[in-house]
Amino acid sequence: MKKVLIVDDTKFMRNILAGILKKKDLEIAGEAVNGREAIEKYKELRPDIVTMDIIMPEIDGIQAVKEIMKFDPNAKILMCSAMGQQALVIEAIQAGAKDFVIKPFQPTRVLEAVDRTLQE
Amino acid sequence: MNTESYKEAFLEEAVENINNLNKALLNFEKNIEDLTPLNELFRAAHTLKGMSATMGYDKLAEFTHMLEDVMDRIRGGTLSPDIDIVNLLFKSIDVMQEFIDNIRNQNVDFAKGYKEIITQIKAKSSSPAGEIKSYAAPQKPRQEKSGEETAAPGKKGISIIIEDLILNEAAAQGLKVYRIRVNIARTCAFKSVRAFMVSRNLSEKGEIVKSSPKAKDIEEGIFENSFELGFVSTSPMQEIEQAITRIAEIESAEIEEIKAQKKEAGESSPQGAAHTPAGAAEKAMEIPEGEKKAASLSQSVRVNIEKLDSMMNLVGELVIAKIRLDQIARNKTYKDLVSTVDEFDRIIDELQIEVTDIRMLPVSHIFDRYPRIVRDLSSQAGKQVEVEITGGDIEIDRTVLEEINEPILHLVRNCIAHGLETPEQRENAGKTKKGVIRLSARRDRNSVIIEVSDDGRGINLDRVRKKAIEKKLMPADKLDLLTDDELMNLISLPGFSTAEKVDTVSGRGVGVDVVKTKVEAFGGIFRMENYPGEGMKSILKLPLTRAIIQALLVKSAGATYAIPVIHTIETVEYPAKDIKDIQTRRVIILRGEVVPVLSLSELIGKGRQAEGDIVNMVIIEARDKKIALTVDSVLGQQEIAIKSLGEFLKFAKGFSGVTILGDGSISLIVDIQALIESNLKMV
Repeated sequence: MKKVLIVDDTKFMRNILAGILKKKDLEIAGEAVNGREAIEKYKELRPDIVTMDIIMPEIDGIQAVKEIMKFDPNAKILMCSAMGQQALVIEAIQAGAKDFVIKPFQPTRVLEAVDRTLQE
Repeated sequence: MNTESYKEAFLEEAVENINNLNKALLNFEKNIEDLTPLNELFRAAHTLKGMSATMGYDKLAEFTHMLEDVMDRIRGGTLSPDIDIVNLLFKSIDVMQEFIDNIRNQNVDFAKGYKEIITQIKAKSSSPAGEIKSYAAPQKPRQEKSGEETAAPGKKGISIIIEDLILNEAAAQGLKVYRIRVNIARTCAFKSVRAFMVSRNLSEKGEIVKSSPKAKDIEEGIFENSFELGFVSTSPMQEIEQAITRIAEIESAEIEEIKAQKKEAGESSPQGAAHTPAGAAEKAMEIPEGEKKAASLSQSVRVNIEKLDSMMNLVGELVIAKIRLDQIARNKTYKDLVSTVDEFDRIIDELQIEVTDIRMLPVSHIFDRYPRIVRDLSSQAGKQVEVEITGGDIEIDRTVLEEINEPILHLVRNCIAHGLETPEQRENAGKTKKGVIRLSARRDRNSVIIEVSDDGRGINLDRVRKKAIEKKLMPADKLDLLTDDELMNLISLPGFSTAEKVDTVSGRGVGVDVVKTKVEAFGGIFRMENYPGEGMKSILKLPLTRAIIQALLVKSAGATYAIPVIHTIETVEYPAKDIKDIQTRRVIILRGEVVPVLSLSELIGKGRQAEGDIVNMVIIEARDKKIALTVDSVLGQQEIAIKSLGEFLKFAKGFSGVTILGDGSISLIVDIQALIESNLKMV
């Protein structure tokens, strides 16, 4: 089973994502509530894929992508963006994120993006 | 998605975020000058928006979206907060709480008076209607019918045209040229990001040589559901298709390879004919004159402009290192070192000239568009206008050229809309029916001077005077002191151009302040000359390049500053006793001309320095007049490489950049225009 690390500053969003991801054969290996924790947990858990929120306290999602890519250039990160954040998403992709999904989530789109990202 | 099971978590965290909002807003209220609590406010509103949209509470999402926008605007400085806004924000938080209570108790997404708060905030932020972006509820995903293809627009053929120049060059290098149409899913919300991913994937396999629409529009997502590219690569078609379609939300990629053909006289471009259905191809085959001309050139390579920019940067650094080395060598006694450094000097100078030269483009690049533009604009305005171009072969740095394109268009529009008369009016005034707009360029030392002039009616200064009084730009008695030139320059003040219909006043003025600001922003000078009844001339003095300039180094209040030579006229040593006080101003008489005196250290905010018997002054040109700037000493003229101030210093008013001097120290580049502008009262 592929391991997922879910990063979002709200439990609500993490639960929603976990609910969607559990429908596929994915194991929620861990959750992080900000960029700093995401980096730590990535190193500890070595997940197959990370879902990454962008606007978070302490260290934001983009900074976290940069740090994680530095640690593991093969990291597979899927950005979770709100409407209107195109520029931030481009920045994240330039930093190494593989794909993105937009909130509010459409479960089919999230699962498709996870599949694609895992295949990259 | 069944959201009911997440409702508890939603409510719990919504309340948490509302508490955070309250706390942060209270902090903010304590000291409205300190914007740090805004970050927390913004983040909490943003989070609430995302959560409520996910739960399908569209009204709450709309409401929080508006709040997020307000916070962002306050944070970004486009909305200045006051106690009324803070009060409204407090009320908004109460409304959010009500939303949450209603959702919890009655399962309805509603709160009394939420619309009213939106209206009040919109009014309060006094933005033109619609500036606070309204929240568009996300589209529900369309029922996707698997296996059923949407009508592919590609059946109509790809219409982008690839120039022969590229075809021939690619053929010579054994590269393949492709035309590609990328179709993005209609449901895709971030088209620009998908386009970015396409271009990134393609760049790994070759070079994108053309796009339709323009790259900028694609970047901003201004296209329907497809865009077209010209692409040069060694990879086979299949691989390219795969590189595109492996990106999510890309529906399909249509690709065709095109080949260069020997061009017979009179034969049209090869592409399309053999590869695309006839109709579309024929239409697309008309190649503009300019491109045909380009196709006949050879011996040239396409270089990514970013590479040129970074090369220019490196040369800039070399110049700095050169100056340092030069100083070190001269302080030592090694003869060989000095001569080697001299040699090194010469090579770097040449390199600099060559690199600068590569970035140069003739101004005809933009001038040549005008006959057509003027034709269309003048016929719309019911006027007859001819364009005369001189000096189209004068070259200027492409970044400068890009920057002036818009100002020139602005000026030309003004000529047509306001300056030039109708054929009848011209005949009555004893002029030829056809008006003339002249575009000219010439070199002047380290600058290029571009003039846009017309033979229209010029500016009626009496009307300018009247309007200035009406608009309270200046009291009448002060206006009387102004020279004609100074009076005319009033029309480039921001307040003036907002006047109702300017053409009822003077026949001109719309947006002149915009042009002036733009030209001055990259170190140029803008000035107008008025010939009442005979026409108008706008003069743009532009630096040859933006990266390396000649500057005068001066010392003031213990620090070294660089003043771009483009703004300086001369330096003088002036006896302190001859500086005169006229009312509150200090002036000197320079060759019979009265020149106001300002102190550089004072402008910079360090207060006036003590002056000796002889005062060093730099005579500068600013706001169309001479100003004597006092400095402690003048160190000399040298070329400097401009480095931007970067993120942290970009708010430092009065400086346009920094440079590194020969001794390794850092010097600020003085933005004369801005300094004078912000100290207007002192002039």
